[in-house]
Amino acid sequence: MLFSRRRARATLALNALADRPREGIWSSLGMAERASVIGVVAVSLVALVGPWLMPYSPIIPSGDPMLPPLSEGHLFGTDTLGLDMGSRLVSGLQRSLLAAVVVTAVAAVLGTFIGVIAGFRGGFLDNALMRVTDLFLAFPATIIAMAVAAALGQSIASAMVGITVVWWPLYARLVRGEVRRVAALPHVQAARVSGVRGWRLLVRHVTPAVTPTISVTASLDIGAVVMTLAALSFIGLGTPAPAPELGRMASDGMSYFLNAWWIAVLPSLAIGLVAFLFNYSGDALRVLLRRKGV
Amino acid sequence: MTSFVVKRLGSLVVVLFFLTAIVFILGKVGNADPVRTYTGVNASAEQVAAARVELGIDDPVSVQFANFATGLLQGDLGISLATKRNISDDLSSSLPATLELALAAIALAIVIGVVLSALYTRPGRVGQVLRLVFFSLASAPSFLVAMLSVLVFYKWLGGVLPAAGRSSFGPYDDGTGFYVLDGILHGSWTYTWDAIAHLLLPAFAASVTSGVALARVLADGITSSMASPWARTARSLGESESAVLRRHGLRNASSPALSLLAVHAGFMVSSLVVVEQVFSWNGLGSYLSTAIGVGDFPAIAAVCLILGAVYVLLNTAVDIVLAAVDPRVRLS
Repeated sequence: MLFSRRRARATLALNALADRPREGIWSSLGMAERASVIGVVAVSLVALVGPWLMPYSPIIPSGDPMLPPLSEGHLFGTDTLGLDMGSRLVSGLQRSLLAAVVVTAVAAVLGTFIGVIAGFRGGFLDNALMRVTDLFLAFPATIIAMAVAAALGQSIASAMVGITVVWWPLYARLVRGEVRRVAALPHVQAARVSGVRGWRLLVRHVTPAVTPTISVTASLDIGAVVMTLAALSFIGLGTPAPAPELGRMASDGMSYFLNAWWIAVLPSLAIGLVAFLFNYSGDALRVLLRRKGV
Repeated sequence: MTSFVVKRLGSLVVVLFFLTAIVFILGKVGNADPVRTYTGVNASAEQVAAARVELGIDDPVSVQFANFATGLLQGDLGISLATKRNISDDLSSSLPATLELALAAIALAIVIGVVLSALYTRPGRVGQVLRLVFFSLASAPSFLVAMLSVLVFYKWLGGVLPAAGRSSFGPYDDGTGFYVLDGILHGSWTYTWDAIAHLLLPAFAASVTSGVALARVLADGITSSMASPWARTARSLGESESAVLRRHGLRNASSPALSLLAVHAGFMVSSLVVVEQVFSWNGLGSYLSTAIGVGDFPAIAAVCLILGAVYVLLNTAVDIVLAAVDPRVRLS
């Protein structure tokens, strides 16, 4: 009897929840935000499958050199070696986005690890870890990334390491704060009272509550990482030519800038577009999530 | 206030120390072989041995670090592997070039910020279009802004503004390295104006992002403080709207704007490096990318240390100024 009453009450509560108008994230977005989210999906798709759909190779000459955009057979023109700009842009996009995703993921995991340990253990360890984090935050990020990448030698991998080195402290700070907030929440307190301790408390009760914040923040940072990678490869810290990479293509194109603007401008536009789309839709999502209290 | 300044200066020393240490360690663990870069690939065994002694490679690491750090304190940045000259001498002409550009960029960012913030607070059709243009420019990479401004002002408008170098005339022999200042000191308006014209496009490309960010913060601050109780009190006491704006709106909005500028200084430093390349500006950025091209790590390290130190010093200075202006900062 008691059991069924409790169940009835639970059902009522569930019904009430279901009756409440559930506003999806999509329907609460404005037109511009929707357009930017669609843009992000489109850019990711192009980066994912585009290189296999392009008619020409990005590193084998396929036409006369320096054809302007809208030439026959070469919608985006060709560069000084006669390489198809369209194919190079799509491959470069793939390379840049992939690198940015990897950098963000590694930095987020590293930062989360350090932040969770600091926030959960507290005391001396917390103090020490946060001192190190603050130290890294006090450095000018791009400069340190450049120094690290230069020390490791010219390759996209060293540029990625360089950016990861300066990117994790942001997540460590964020996660530490979140962990301390979550640790005071009723469900964690309840688990603690029931005798759950240590690793299990951390993995089962604290980390799941922190994950949404950190994953959302990280995915929104991709635009900024794309820009930083492009800046590094623009000054020569990235994949050496002729491998297609947007920042490098832009800086190589600078030599022919006044005769053939598209060789330098199109890759730069691609970088700008990607960064803009990610930043814009990211901002919209951030505002929405804050409003929903995630 | 004194204890705040002491604390802040203490942490400045710590940060500078670790900055030096990190750059030094990077030079040690890096992939490149400094001796080979220094002597060239075809050097004999004796030449390599001599270079090892000259570069101090075989000293204990602690001794090498001590030499490196004391050298820095005396303004000695080490020897470039590529030019085999003292890096400090190499940089004596490019440092003023970058500083001049950086100062121009900061000034321009403030101008853009103040003008745009007026547009933010007073909505209208023209304001909307301008805001959109500037917002797009602000999220573009700085080399794209640089290229577009060259295309528009140099190529399509028939060279109304110069797009490369620092001056059409070259430096004065007894100059300070700051061309605008040199022009003024020598009383030559043609020279001064020419130097300013060369500054405009690169400074714009380096400053537009910070300018727009500044405009947003200023606009936010002004709107909220103009709606505050103290602004209402000032109005009820009969102060004119412009006096309220000047004495309460701007003053309250300036403190977050100042700290934003400090954050953006680091951002501007990195975009300067890129922008200098587009405009063939012979500053630290061009020096850096040449050094990267030949794998000259001591030179790269020197530029990174200088730029990093400027950033850290600027941040400390702004923190102290903020604390002087706003007592709440001192307590936190």
